[in-house]
Amino acid sequence: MAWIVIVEDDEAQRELMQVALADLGYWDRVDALEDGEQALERLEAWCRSEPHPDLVLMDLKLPRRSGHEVLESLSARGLRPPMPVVVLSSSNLLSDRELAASVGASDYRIKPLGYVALVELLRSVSERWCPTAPRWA
Amino acid sequence: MKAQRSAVDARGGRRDPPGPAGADRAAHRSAADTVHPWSLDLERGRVDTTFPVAELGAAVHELRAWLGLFDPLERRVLLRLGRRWLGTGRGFALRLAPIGWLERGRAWSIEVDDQPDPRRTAMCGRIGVLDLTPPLALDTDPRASIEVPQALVSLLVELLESADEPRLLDRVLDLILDASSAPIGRVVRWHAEDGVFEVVAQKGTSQVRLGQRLMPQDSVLGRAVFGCRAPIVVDDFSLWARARCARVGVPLGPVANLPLVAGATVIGVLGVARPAGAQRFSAQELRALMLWARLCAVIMHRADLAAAHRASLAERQAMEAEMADHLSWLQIVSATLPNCVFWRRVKRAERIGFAFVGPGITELTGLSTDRILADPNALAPFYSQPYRAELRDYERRSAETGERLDRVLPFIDRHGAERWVRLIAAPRRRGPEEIVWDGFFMDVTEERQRSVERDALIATLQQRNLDLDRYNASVAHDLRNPVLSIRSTVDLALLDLERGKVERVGDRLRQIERTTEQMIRLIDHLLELARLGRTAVQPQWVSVADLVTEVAERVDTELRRSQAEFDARRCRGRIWADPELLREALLNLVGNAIKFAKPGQRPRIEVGCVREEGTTGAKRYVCDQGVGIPPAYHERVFEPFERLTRSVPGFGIGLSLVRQIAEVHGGRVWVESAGEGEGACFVLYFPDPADGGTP
Repeated sequence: MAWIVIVEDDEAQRELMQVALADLGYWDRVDALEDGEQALERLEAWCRSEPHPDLVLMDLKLPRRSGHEVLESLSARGLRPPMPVVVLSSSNLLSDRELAASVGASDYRIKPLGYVALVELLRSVSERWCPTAPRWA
Repeated sequence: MKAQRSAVDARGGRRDPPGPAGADRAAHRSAADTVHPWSLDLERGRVDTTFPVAELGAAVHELRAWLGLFDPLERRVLLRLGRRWLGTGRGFALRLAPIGWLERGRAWSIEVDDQPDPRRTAMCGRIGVLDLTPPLALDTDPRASIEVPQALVSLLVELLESADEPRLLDRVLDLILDASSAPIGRVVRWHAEDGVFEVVAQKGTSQVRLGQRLMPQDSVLGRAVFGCRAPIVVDDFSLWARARCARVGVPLGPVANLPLVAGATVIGVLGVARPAGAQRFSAQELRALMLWARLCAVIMHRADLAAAHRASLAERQAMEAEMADHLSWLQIVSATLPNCVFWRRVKRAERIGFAFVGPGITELTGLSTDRILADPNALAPFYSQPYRAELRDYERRSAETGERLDRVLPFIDRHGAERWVRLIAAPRRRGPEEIVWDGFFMDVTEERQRSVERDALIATLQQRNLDLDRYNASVAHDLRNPVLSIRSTVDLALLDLERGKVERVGDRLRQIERTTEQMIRLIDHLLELARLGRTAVQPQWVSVADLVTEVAERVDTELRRSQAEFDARRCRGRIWADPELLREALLNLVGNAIKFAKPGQRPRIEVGCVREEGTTGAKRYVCDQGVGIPPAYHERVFEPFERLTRSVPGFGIGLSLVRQIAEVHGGRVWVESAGEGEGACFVLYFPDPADGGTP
């Protein structure tokens, strides 16, 4: 069962992502989280026990705790997510990319504009990080 | 000897001016007492050879008297007072007279005068110049002393008492030649025929006429005894002899300049002139002359030497004048340039010290310039230990390497306050054993303070730039996000239409409407924030109660809708603030208190103003019993675009606006909250005018 988690505070973007992932047809289970605190709590649990999702897509700018802080807190506790965590951000700043890499993010992608681009991005991320995912191209 | 000493003491009190009259009196007294401080004690073969320069004039006259006592032929004493001879005897009398044409009267001629003996009127003898010039500046340093070479004195005593003159004469010559340096070689021959002296020296296999290369500075004796390095300048003997012969009315025979030099002290004879056809000198007389020649003076003169010396003297005087000009200029500059001290440090052999220091040093250290000139280490305590060592090392090192110094060092001033001085120095070698550092130091404390302030300002500006970058990034992100959100909603609506879920499209459009309104508000906030950064603060005393009433009216609708309890009873007094900005800050805080009320609970908001003991500003606070803020977020909530929750509409700009308002008033804002669910109290501190304190 392919399981993906998305962390996104904006309702519309979150819903569009859920729709796009469903349309992709690969992911059997899509969970959505709304803020950094929730994300930290769940990721910590997945670090400690099975089962865990196959991929996490996380925004950086989140309420209560930023995406950076979530990853940083995990590594401060000596934990390493058992799945790839891909940062999905609207920031194209180099400093944000570097920071994300330094706290253990597997990948850094810029949020695309529109459904088509989003589907394309989700395909690419799935292919890259999930060995069992089909090769759509 | 005791009697001699007491005579010295007695003479010490004398105030006769130097001159013939004084000298004559001295001669007279010496004849009467038979002891003399500057005379030979013939009985004991001793001489008091040291006398103060201050009494040089008198001493020279006494020397003259002493020489007048001596008859080289019969070793009889001839006494003379002025032109009158007190004693009788054969032979020559000697007369010392200052030689005016020598610079500064530093030499005296000794004449062999035929006048005292009428039987020898046809004879004219001449003994040249005795120069007792030591290296001391006799005319400027009254503390200096002259040491007459004891070896020569001893020989003289021996000569006076011995009949074996030729042997002693050889010893005198040996002494002179030994004392002289190599070019002299050894005198191998002298003769006196037809009234002409000639002394020939041999060096190696070649014979050299003496005088060609004799320079007093070559003399070991001169250096050892007097340390004299200046050339002896004597005029042309033959001219002098001619003049002398003309004066006594005798024709002049051949005259030879006959130099023998021993160091700085010229102790030789020049020559003898005798009238043609006159009785020849006897061999004994000639020997006596020779003896005197070697004992008393050698005049060596070469006109070019004198000219060169005079030229170099003139050059030196010009340089001295120029240096004096420079020094005077330096003193003026040093005195007039504020915070600047010029100095010159000199190292001679192992001694080091200040040769000049500008008057500004007194202002800085409280030490007089005299004190610093006297004590080479007087300034050391004003530098702290590591720098003292560094400067010492530099002095040692730069003497060899010529390295320049340019350092800014801490310096403790006369009041014990730390100041900063810039020290600049460059060494230069003056002679083989002397190094001079010319330098100056400036009090650069204020410049340094300015530089520190400037650095701090640059650091602040750099930080501000970083903040601005971060802020811009946040703004971009937060402007992009609603656009993304709108686009996502549009796409969702399109998908709904495509997939036949038409009923959801209306909700989507309303969602877009809300998001665009939010976005407009966000842009308005940003504009407000930007306006605040540009607006000049215009503080005044503001009545707190009035302002809070105004704020309450502005948020009246929200207060009524939320049924909030608004307590402003503790708003009293006045506060020093820009009323418009303060109103904006309060509106934000009260607005937040309404927005973040606990769900399902009636908000209670208290606004107050307190002045605490010991502070000079007013604290104004807005407390609520809302959702509270965990301590970890107490700082972050004031950052732009920071939001703790998305459940309440907003952009995270209000509190950063409040913080900025507090800061432009020189105050600050902070939040006190025990944590989630515990309510929060936002405190604004506004200092009173000219109050730099913190709450």
